Amino acid sequence: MSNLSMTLPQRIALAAFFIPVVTIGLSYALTVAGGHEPLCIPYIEGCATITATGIYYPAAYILRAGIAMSAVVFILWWYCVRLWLESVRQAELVAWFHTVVWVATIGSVLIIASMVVLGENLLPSRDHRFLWRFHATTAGLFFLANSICQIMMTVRMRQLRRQMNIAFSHIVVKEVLALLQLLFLTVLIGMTIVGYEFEGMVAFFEWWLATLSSLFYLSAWWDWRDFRLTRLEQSA
Amino acid sequence: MSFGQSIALISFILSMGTIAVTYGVATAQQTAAICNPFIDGCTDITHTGMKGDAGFIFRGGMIAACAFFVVWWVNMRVWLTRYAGKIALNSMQFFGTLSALGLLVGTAVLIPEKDATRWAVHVKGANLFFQGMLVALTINYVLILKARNKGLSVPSFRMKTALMAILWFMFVAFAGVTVGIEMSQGKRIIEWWATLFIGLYFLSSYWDWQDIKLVHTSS
Repeated sequence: MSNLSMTLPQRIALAAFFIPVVTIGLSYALTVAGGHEPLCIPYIEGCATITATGIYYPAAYILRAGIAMSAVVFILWWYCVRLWLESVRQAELVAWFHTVVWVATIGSVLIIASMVVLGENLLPSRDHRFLWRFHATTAGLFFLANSICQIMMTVRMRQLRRQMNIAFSHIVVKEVLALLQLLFLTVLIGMTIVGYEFEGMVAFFEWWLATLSSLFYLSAWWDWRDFRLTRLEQSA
Repeated sequence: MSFGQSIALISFILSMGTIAVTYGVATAQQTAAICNPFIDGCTDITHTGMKGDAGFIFRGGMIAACAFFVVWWVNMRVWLTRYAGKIALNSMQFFGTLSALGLLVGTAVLIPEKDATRWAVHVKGANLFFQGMLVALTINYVLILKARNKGLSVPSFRMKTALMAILWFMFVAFAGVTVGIEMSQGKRIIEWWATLFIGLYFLSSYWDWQDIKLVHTSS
């Protein structure tokens, strides 16, 4: 399929993957180049949080702009998925779709709020405790809401697989991504409750959850070939 | 409400709402002067969105609005596809998207400390927004005019005509909407009005895009 024939929802699915992944990668590279964070594999070593890549300029400009833009794309993705699933015309599910999409939208707004406070204005951290707490709370709520909504949506997509004509392999990919998110979230919450912590724990989970949720957004690309923005002819 | 109408509405409410809330918070926190900036030109939009909580609101709201502007141009392209050539549509969408990205970059570099702000980037980004937007909207208006003559229903045509006339009058009479670090009172007034009129142009498509929808055509 050529780029020219790509539907708008497909472009949204692509953007929801590439914008955050490229943004985080670029801001991390700039932060490392500036000598503010070590060069490592954060997925394994947990050596730098995503937040840490958005403190020093110019990396902070990129993280702020890229993630705020990503959040809008996430909102559009949820709007698309709602309209897509509503096309099965099961009236009893409409309220459910609306609720999940609203929760995911609020989560996306929270990540914008979380990102705009980042920058060198947060240094030294002891003088800006409120803003740091605000950032940590809003970012945490985003990850929680986003992952839970994706997990719930996977369950519903499986139920509607036949009506929606979703390929079995596409559902399996979504289920794997949703299960991994569930696993990471459960372990993180469990460890927090029992008070167990290892070095780089937050960074480790943050990078994995961000990547898994981006991959989940991308997975809709294969489902949305026949889901397009179009101008319907009005009846006379 | 159709997808197209939602995008038109959000593009207006988010951009204008962000500026209004930013100004309200800035005046409440005394980082901007209290006045009617559309008449008095006591401050420019940029300086209301730099310091304090107003800065956070401005950066978050305007960057998000820029993303919606990009989608607004996609909608406009779909709406005009059957009535305009590919080159004209590509040009329109290119300048529209470029101007939105200019504003996005110009907004992202704003920080509370005026001396440390990368003004060159901000000024270029903001000017790219205003000049690029005028080019994109002009192409858009001409395409709509031609499409209307071919039978396209354009409920907002009078509103769009009035807005284009005003924007061009401002451009010719005041040598364009040019943003700088320190702007004259007149330039500041023009900036506020031009921003409002561009926002209204985005909103005007709400009445045109009732049939711009996302449709699942099962194969």
